[in-house]
Amino acid sequence: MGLRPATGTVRIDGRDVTGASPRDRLRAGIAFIPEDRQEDGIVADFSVADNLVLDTFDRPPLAAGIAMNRSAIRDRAASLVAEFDVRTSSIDTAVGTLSGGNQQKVILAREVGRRVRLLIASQPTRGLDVGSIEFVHRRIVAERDAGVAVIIVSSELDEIYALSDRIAVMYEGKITGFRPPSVPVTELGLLMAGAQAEAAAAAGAGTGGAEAAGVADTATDTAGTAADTAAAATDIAANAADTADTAEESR
Amino acid sequence: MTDDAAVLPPGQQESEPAPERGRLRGFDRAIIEAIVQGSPAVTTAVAIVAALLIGALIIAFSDATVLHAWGSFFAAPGAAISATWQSAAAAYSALFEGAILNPHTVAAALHGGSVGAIFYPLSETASQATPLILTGLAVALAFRAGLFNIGAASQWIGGAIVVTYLGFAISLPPVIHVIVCLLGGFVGGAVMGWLVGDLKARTGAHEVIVTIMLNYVMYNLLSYLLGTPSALQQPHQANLTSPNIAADAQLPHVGGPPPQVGVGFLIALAAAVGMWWLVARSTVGFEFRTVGANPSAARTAGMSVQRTWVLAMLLAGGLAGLSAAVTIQGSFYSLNFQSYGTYGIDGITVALLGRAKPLGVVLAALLFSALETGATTMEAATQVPVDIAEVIEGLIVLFVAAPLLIRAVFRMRAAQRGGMAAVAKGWNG
Repeated sequence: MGLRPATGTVRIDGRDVTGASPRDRLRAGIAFIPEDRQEDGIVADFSVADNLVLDTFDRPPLAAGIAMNRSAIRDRAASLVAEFDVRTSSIDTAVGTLSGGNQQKVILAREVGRRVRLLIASQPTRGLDVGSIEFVHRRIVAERDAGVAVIIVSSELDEIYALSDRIAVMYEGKITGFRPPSVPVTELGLLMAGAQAEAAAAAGAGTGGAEAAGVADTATDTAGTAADTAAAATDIAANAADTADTAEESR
Repeated sequence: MTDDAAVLPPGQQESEPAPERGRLRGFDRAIIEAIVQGSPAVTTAVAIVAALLIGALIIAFSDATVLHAWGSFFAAPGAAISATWQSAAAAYSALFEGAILNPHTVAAALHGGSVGAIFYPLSETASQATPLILTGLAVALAFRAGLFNIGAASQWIGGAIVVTYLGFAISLPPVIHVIVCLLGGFVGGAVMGWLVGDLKARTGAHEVIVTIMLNYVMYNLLSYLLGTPSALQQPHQANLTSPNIAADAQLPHVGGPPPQVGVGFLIALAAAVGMWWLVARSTVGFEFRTVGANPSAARTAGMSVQRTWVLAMLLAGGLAGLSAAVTIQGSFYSLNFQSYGTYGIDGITVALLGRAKPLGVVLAALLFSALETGATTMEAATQVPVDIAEVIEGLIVLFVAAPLLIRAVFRMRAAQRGGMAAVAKGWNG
């Protein structure tokens, strides 16, 4: 997925992954929670277990050569389901039959269940029930506490205030400013509105780990299409990843 | 990075043809989903029974005796109905005897006759089914990766050209010659499949269009090669046929004569088991299924959708090429339009009926082959033309496919409605 910067580089722990394939980026330690979970996050017809190993199915111990190790996959799925409190009747249930909250927990479990250095979460709680939102937020903060750089792209101001260490605001694809989470909402609103009242608004938030600086931002182009938003958001995520890296270097 | 990097080029939001979410779930994906998930086996069984019933009516009402009896229906209604029954029953029992089991051979065996003769119809059915199983698998494997492989026919020809050439033009020790020809067939088909996959991966050319066009290209290439003495045509022959392949390159038979199972049939069964393992138990198959079910999620999870397309088409083409190898090495021993047959196109119907699953494909191929094998006996015994077998096959496919098609249409509509509702309401937790 995504991460196609127009200029500059994307580096993870100093390693350049600018032109890397999605697989290499995942292997480099990027975890990504996509905005459109039905389309990009899950394979609805696949079981919970298969969805939990969608990006690790071909690595030991889940596979030896090209032979999948079904019992290892089931063990891993069972432990992730328990750890992330996925409410499912069994790990063989088709993930499409679960509630949105539980689908999101499956994605979260898959993404941060392995060793990651950077978590990019796009609209991580959109459309979820209160319990699931709470769970997802707790897990994201836990990742931050564990030293993972986190970028959250969100259109929910409450979410941004609740989770961010730094807030970057985007307007028409351009970052209009960085603010601490103590920023009054009116100021954020002005930044989001840019100069024109009817223009697209954008807001985002991020949590920076104790070690790695997290930057955050986002774009929600209310006038544009969903695809436009996704494109803009990914662009910025790349930008932010870069910034995070730079911040780390300058530290 | 400068701030400019974050700015989208002016006008991009308008000019970029952002695909609408609803359209992403296109018609082809809806159809493939409907085929792969399928309906319960009951539906298939009902389709087969219904097709046989309609076939029976067609047989009966093309019989002059039956029509005559119905002419005097009001005078003797019982006679009309029993004539109908008898006509259809006679045709179907002859078909059954020709394809599966003839009670007379059992009786003869009990009185000291040949036991082997009992299994003769079954061995014929298996032999006929062999190339069909492999082309069926070729279509089914591509289905699993979300691709419509309409090109089993061109891949068959690709394999056949290589097999035939290796078969008659070079000489190798016995067993090695057989294996080299089989591998050659696989490679010949795989190249044709790879071409389609690579075109799709690089340029987005839809595999349906490419495979259909390649079918014509390869058909005419075959026609040219078989008509050119310096190429594949048998010397001093006016017919479009290749020389026979060397005896060393021919596939042996197990058992017999007369009832015998070609090694080709065993190869086809092994290929079915191999495909099952590949799709259900290997990392390669996991990628195939993921790309087939949801290419966006596959990409997000780090899979290469393009590479999967190429690999799936390559293996599918290889299976179709293998079908050519077992046909030429196992039964015809030469390449011509008779050995070419209709396996490529029939593979599509077999894969459809078999729900793109290896076991289903084997069973569907056996069913079609039984209908065709039995039809010859039926024509000899009752004068019902062999074409009725194809009518029944067509009806089965129609009854199986129509509900799938209807479901695919509804699925797509539901997905589009769902997509719009999701935009309006958000996803409900």
